[in-house]
Amino acid sequence: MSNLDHSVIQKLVAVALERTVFISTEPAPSQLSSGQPTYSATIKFGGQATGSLMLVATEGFARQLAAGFTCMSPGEVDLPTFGQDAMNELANIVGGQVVTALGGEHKAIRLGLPGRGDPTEFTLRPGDCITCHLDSMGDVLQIVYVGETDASLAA
Amino acid sequence: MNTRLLIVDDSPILRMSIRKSCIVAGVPAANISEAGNGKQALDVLAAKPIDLILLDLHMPVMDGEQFVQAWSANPNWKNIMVTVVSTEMNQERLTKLRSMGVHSCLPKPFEPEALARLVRSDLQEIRS
Repeated sequence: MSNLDHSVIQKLVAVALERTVFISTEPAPSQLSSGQPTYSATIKFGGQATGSLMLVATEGFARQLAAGFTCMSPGEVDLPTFGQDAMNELANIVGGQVVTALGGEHKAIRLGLPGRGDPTEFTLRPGDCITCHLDSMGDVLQIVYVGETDASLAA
Repeated sequence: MNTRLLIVDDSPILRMSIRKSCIVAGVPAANISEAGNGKQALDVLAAKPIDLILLDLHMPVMDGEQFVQAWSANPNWKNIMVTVVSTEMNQERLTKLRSMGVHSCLPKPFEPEALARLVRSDLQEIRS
């Protein structure tokens, strides 16, 4: 069971970004360029619904995100200090949104703790993933969601 | 305003963000303490007086639910107000927390101004 599709996930993330850190985004068709420096975070949930979420951001997007959380200008942000933490917190927020969208208000679904992402985990079975991208001023955030059809990733 | 506030969240960057909203709400920076999990929060409560706690639920070491159990069991802390700031939306869990004395819940994602309003409202209630 999953009532989440590409557009729902894209909208959940866009709303979370706008509300929390005032980042406006547009759906982006583009892929992340290979070799581009990135920051990533994953979060899993289990119980009456099971799944995983991974966020991968270009360095510029991670900088915008950290700037939003710290109320600094992007140029002032110490990315090695705040970049990963900002990605983890975004994964936590979006993970909570996904759990709620799956009926978490009334179902027993436990959200795990966010951590540094491992992109290879999600490329093993790309057909089972929902992947979308958001763009903010040329900086890209990739969102990869795997629902309970692939429970092996959330074990 | 002498209200002393404790932010409990495992994310340093979110603690920083919450701290800024609390300062906007009128809490002096010197009156704001921080803890990265429930266990650290209990240590803070044992060491200094606190009036208001902003509590995340999903944390390592000791999560928010475990913290609320420990906090509610200590009569010395009965005047401390606890507000949950979390992605948790499960109504059964939130009802259980309220039954244990949690005052209010602010779901993430939240606008910084919404948090500042909530803190102002909590502080007003504490002072009245």
